[in-house]
Amino acid sequence: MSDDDLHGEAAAPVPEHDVALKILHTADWHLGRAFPSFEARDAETLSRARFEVVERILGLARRHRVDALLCAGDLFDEPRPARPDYQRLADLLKKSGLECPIVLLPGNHDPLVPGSVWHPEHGLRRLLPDNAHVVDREDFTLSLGDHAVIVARPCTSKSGQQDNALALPAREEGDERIRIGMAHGSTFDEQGWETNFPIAKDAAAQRGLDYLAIGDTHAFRHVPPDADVPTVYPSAPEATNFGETDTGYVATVFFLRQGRRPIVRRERVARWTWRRETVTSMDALRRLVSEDLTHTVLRLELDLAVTAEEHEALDTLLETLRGTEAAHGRAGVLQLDRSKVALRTDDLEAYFETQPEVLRRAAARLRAIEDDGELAERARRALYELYRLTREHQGSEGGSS
Amino acid sequence: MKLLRLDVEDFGRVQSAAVEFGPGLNVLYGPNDLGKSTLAHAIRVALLLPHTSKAIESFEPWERDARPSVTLTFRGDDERVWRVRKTFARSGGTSDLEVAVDGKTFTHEAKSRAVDGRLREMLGWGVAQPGGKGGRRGLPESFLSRVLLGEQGDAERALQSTLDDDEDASGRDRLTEALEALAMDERFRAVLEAAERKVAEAFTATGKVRSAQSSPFRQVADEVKKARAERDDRQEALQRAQDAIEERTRLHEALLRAEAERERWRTRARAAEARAERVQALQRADAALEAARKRHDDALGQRAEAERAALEAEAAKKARDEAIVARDAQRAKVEAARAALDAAREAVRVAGADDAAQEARLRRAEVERELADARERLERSRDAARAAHARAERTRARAASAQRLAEEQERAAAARARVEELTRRRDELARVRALAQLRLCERRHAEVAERAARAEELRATAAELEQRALEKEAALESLPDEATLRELRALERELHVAEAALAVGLSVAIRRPGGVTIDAAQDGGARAELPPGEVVDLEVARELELVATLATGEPLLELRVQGGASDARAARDELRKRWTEASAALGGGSLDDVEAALAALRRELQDMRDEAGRARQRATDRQPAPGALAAAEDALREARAAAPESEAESAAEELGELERQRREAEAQEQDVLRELASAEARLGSAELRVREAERALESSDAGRPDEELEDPERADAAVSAREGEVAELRERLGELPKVEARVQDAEAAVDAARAELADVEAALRAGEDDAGRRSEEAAAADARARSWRERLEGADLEALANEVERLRAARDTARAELDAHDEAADEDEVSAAEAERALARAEADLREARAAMQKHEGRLEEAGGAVAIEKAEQAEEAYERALARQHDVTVEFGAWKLLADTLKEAEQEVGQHLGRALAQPISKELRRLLDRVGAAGRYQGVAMDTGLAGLGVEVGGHVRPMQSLSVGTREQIAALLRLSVASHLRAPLLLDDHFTHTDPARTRFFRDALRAEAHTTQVLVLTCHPLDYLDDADLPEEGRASRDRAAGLVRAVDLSRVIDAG
Repeated sequence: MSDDDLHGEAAAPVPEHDVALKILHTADWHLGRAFPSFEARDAETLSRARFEVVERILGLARRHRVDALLCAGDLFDEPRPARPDYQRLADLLKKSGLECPIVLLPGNHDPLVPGSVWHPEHGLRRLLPDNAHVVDREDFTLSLGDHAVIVARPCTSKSGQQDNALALPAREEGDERIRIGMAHGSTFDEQGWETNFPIAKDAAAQRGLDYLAIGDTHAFRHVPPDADVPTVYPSAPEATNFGETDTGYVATVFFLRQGRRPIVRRERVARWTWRRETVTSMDALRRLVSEDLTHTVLRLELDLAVTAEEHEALDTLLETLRGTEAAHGRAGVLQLDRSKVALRTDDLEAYFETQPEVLRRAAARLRAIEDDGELAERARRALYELYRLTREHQGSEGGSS
Repeated sequence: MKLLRLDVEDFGRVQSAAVEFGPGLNVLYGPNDLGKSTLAHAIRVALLLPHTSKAIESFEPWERDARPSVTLTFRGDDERVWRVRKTFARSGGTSDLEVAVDGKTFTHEAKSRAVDGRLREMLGWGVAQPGGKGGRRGLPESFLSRVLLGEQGDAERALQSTLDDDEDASGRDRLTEALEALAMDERFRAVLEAAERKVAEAFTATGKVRSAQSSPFRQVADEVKKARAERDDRQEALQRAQDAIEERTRLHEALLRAEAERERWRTRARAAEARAERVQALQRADAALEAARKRHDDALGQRAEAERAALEAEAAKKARDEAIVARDAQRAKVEAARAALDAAREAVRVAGADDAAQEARLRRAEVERELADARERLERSRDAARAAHARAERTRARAASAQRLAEEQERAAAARARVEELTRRRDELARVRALAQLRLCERRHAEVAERAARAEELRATAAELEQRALEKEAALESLPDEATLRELRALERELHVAEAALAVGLSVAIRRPGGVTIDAAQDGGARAELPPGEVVDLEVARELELVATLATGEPLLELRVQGGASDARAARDELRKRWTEASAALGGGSLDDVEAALAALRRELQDMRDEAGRARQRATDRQPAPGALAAAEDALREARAAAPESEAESAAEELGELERQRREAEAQEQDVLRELASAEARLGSAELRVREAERALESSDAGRPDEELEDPERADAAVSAREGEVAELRERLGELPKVEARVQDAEAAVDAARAELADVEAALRAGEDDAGRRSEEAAAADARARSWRERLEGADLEALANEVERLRAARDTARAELDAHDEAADEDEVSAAEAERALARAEADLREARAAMQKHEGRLEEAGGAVAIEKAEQAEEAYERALARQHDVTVEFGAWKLLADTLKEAEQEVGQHLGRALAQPISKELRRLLDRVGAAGRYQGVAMDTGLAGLGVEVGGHVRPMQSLSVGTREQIAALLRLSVASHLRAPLLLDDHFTHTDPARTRFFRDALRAEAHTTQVLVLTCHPLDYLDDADLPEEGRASRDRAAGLVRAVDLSRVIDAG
């Protein structure tokens, strides 16, 4: 978004007396999401991060003293999350100290289906605080005092063609209240899945709303940017994958008196940055390692050729990045692809020249099968380990060779 | 190294002795118990035993309290002469080492403990430096010390010794150096150990991948398995979603097709309606044209009639006018005649005014009365004649009317006949068309029915295949499922592992006493009698059962040896039991068979399903549109109803031909219909005219039904008779006697005038009649003309002609439109009703398609398109990463294994060199020995391991263990080994009564060998049989202790002269 001067973090403070209503709009928490392509420890970190950001969102809502917290769908990654996950959310909501209504909308990831977490008979319901309102019926309406009302419609399947925003009730004649709509789905300018609950771009205007809070897309955006009635994706508060842009925000919405267009502010809540790097030289790797990557989910692809000697250095650097059993690595979460690390063994011949014959012979045997398709990779690796071990023991022998 | 001299004091039974050694073969001989072995030991302790060692105790003098003392002088490899002197005592003993550069003048080099260190260093025999912890008690030993200084009766130890047991690598180094090979390097060992530690994490001792929970392979395999299962689940879910989407797309397409079909039929229905309208319009235009044309023709006829009537009226008028003129002229004539008559009468009156005249006049008057009567009668007759003529005229007119009626009736009959003929023609054509339609419908029906039947057949095939697939599936279910097979596989593997754990390998040597039969069962195999032979070596993997039986048949011994610990066996038995129970599910087949059968069944099942799917698809492809058969049947039924019952088969078989026939018949029918319409119109008008004529006829008869009809001719004759009467009377009148001339003349003049008047009056009457008739005629003609004019007044002929032209153009346009429409219609023309029916069907299909679409929307909602894709991608990525990790682990541990294997191979390569290097000369000597004793080829050589331990002898490409050889042979091989080692190391060799089990022939071989070796190797032979090594001539002369022969290379020493046993 390039409209920071209007809606962004840098905007001037909105005078309190001018504000008729203030809400915080968030979506796409994806709690309980598994990260199976990460190592167990990292997957755990990432899953935990999703709860941590919810905690920050609740804190922000409290600080802003918002009149309502709107959570527009996909709050859980699955319709039937594990008990610890929904229990934890309930705990967070309870302990948040928020007294304003919290509206929880089922999305396409966690649709309102029998047995789902949002179903009135699900165990979560008993755990939620009283001010939490689950959108568990199609004609959901929640008044915020006399001057505002929230209308919302849940996803009741994982995919669908109906427009839940257009299905919201229209403004009745003479109804002067602030009307806020909530729906989960993709606006028509979204490329991709046609069956994913389309939302007409002018749905908000059509239904006589003052603001349409939607969720689904993980990037922050106004749809369309210059619409009379703001229709906003607040983005996923923490990214769920590499390649997602404009994630990590919530929207704070100020409804002004005299019925002017609400002011929407984008506020950053994410702690984690997802980053993909391809490193093609040792220098680049050293530079990367020297950065602060504490809260970076780093997918590192190594695409370089190294000598055996450099390979040792590479191992050391990677250990620094990754950490060990005993020590944290420099990268918060690391996903490493070293399949393109080529080991250059041409300098090893000279090295083994001065080694005992049996080692020399072993090295020669390995070099002989270094280009033997099937064995090549193992042979090079074995050769490297031979080099490394030989050096190690040469060192421990006190440098005599 | 060469030993030069040994001095012994108070050593065992030897009180003192001093021996000088020659550089080559030294045969030190003496009787038993002289102390030969003591001297040998003195050499060992001088070189190897620290003077403080307790091991000397057994060599403390037997009968004296003295400290054993040994001095050994030798030439080192550095060519310097060394002298070691040791006095043994736990305390107070000494060791000294001196060296003499010139060979004579000794200088001190080391003393006490340092002496042994220096010596061991100098020797390089693999004996560790003294003082180290864990050093062996007693005489230090090493491979070389045992080989070079082997003790009496211990010949074989040399074969069992291995460099691997040395405390110190110096022996191996020396040998390696000597044999130009490398032995195991320390660095190498460390590297190998590190590699093997890594290998052990992932592989078992036998090189198999470890399956324990801690194995990295297992961990990563579990990870992959989990990720794969997740991926498969997600893929399946995605597949379901995509199937649903595809189904939806398919349904959407079907919907669009149904809509298009509906639209097509709607268009066709509209087209059919339009065509029907056009046909009607054409017919209407035709009719209108015909009517207009008729009107025009009528008008034309009427105009002609009117014109004729006008002309006639004109002529009649003219005739009337002429008749009036003529009548008026006659009237004038009548007036003149009357005047003349009056004048004549006056003349008569004047002339007749006397009696005669009176009488004449009376008679005349009488005649004249008669004449008047006659004239009256004549007039009546004339009226009657006129009436008769008029009647005759009317009769003629009626006859003409009747004639015209008849003609009109004839024409009407002709028109009717034409209509009937055309109607027949039309019916004929309708019949032909219906027939053609019937054939067409039959063909279409047959075609649709055939397609439906084919589709049905295909469906039946599909159903049968599916049924068979179900049966297969049932068969499949009767086989163990995947999980059971996996369990069985795991169990089988476990069982194999458990069995492998028992296969520890047993080497069993059996010596069989005579008269005993031994049956052996190896590894659970069948029991078989062992081959005869003194000693039998058996190699079994895990189990051996022996049953020994005496010749008498009495059992001697039953022995069962099993490898592995008893709990391992119990585990194996337990597993075997579980395997037996579990494998019962396999129905006697092997696991592989069952898996293969399962896979085959699955493949077959899949094939069947695929085929069934294809058949279904083909059935669907062939299946006529829903309702097509019903429609064809409807059409057929309709066509049948429309077609005549018994009709000759149409010659045409082709649909196209039938269709052409039908259309032709239809076109002809249209023509006939048109013609018929016009014929009917003509008939109508003909009948109209007939009726008109009839009316005319009727009207001509009306009004005179009762009138007496008189023949006009008779009436004319009556008139003539009356005229005759009148003429007669007139004649009589004329014949009357003339009273007077004048009167007569006058009367004559009167008569003449009267006659003249009568003539003129007759002419007048005729003229008046004519004028009246002419007037009437003129009036009638005028009325007719006026009537025609009136009738023509409303009809503008030009307008009518224009109208005809307009209607003809309209008709032509309608026909052209119809033709154009027919030409433009690119498909079979359908009737509007047919199109309506098809449209209704298309709409029903559309509704069905919409319903199916909605149903599938529901399915898609369940499947969750975007979510399914996202989850599938996530699972796929996780799976790929797991695979990558697996690959990494495989490569990593594969690399470690490859490294360990390669290191061992390199070691083997280098190590075997040492073993082979030494085995070669030994083998050569062994073969030479065997050759010499006539046993050539018995053994090909000896095999030694890397530590130079003797492995055995090579027989026929195999290695027979040393233990299977006779003691004598082992002794000889050991001697060859010793000699070879000593020769390579240029070290002295001590053979202490070595060949005790060697026959004389072989002993001679060794004698020669030792003598030959004497050039390079110093050998000290201690024996009580000197002649085994020496000739008589070699022995010392009487009184001498020693004798050198062969240029000093062979020295015989009589120890009895050297040793002072005290």
